[in-house]
Amino acid sequence: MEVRVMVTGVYGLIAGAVYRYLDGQPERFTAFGCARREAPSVRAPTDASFILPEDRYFRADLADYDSVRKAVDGMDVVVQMAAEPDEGAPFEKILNSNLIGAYHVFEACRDAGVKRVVYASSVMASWGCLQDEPYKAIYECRFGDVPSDYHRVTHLDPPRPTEPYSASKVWGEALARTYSDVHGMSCLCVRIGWVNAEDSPYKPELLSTWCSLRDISHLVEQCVAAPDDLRFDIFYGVSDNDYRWVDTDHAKKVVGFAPVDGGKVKLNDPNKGTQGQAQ
Amino acid sequence: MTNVMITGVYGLIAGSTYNHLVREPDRYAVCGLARRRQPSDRVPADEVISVPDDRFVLSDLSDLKQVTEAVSGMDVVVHMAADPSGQGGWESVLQSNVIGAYNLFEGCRLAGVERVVFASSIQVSAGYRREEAYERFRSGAADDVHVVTHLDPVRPLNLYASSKIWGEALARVYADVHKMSCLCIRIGWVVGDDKLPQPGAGDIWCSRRDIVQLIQRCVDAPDDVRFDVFYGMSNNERCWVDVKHARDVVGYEPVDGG
Repeated sequence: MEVRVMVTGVYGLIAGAVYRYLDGQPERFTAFGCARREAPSVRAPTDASFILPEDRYFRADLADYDSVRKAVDGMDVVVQMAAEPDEGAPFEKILNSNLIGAYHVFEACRDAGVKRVVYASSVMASWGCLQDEPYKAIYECRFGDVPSDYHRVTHLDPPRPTEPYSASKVWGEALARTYSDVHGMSCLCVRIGWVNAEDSPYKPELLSTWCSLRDISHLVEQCVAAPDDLRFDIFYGVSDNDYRWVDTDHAKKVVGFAPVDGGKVKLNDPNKGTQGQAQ
Repeated sequence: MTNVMITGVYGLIAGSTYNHLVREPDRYAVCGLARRRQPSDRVPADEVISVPDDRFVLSDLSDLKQVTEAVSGMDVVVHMAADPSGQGGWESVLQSNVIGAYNLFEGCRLAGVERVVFASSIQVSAGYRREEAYERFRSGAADDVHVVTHLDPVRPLNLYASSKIWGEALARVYADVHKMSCLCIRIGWVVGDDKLPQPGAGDIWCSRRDIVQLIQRCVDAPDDVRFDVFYGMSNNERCWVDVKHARDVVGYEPVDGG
């Protein structure tokens, strides 16, 4: 029987890609989407044809608990992607969409008996690591200063948020842990890397955390379809990039994440620590 | 002389801290903030505090501008104002612990406060405690268990604990990005009469004088302590969280033990 999946914030860049990816496998999934307005986000590629059929779409504003509760009713899995995506957004927006909104989604899913929530967290939950070497060198494209072997940051390392946005993702992960341990829901968090509408690792400082749209869609799918006994986990969702500084082995091992894309760094002269560039 | 503001000053632990610090007027000028000018129900009669009018601010932390004014001129803010248990439900946790914590950190940044001591809770690690390995350790059936440290993942079991994780995340942000010193204390089970709250809770107990000592050590910590998380426990038997880190970094020496 097909798994009924609700993708929240469905007109966002990543959520839209995830919806189409799942909707393209109708024998496995029946995909639904909800959003607070029926229009693609400014980040999403302009594609007028991407309008959900009426029977797959719910209007829901995360600030309005009742609308969220209706949208998740009867779902097997909810992919929680509706959020303020701008890390520089003022606290008011973070509060309504990411703090209150995340609570409404977990609580509505509990009340509705939804078995699993896939929570869209962010690699920015670890962004503070970039203040420390060798991650700082990677971010500053001083690739010659990066040792050949270094610790890749894992889901077990303490979070390192850098603004209310990434702190709100730490909050969402805490809710995921709570609803998993106490209410018996399966809650899987994906710390999504840098995804962009161009679907390209074009900024050298962000290349190491890039994630292609198909890689992130694939990881979310692997989470949606994961075995029932997977109750809680946190995965980094980044492509197989050069100088990747977050761990993806855990996602590979637990849910079979197999990224097919990866940003490559072209080094001018690694021995002299000269600047690399994205290809 | 250190200017210290204690928020939620009429609470149990905050009041004990206030009483302790005001006894050293040559070292601390202590102010208090609270949303009402009356002690919490948890405070025993002999521990009721008296904050002079010129050292008191009435505020519920819901207004950033008001908070910023309240903390201006302070060197250290000890942030204890919060829904203390989550029993007030989501709205209470949201207003006091989620929005209140943000306004506190942001207000301290705007006002140039150098250090925030944030009252977190042992509840952020509560999920470990009910795992079989930890239950066996606590009951004496096993003598070895991994001692949970501040570096281990959090294990909240309710909204209250999640709100404390939010507060610790803000502490990290304001330390790393805004260069404030932010020290978090995961406070154990503190009760008004200082007796063990119930049989079997000795593992996470903290006496009032021990928690007050740890708070004071955090207030006094060297400037180069920029961010840290400490467990605030007495020297308990069968304690499954680490207190050595607090000893090593700020010289915490608990004198009681459950």
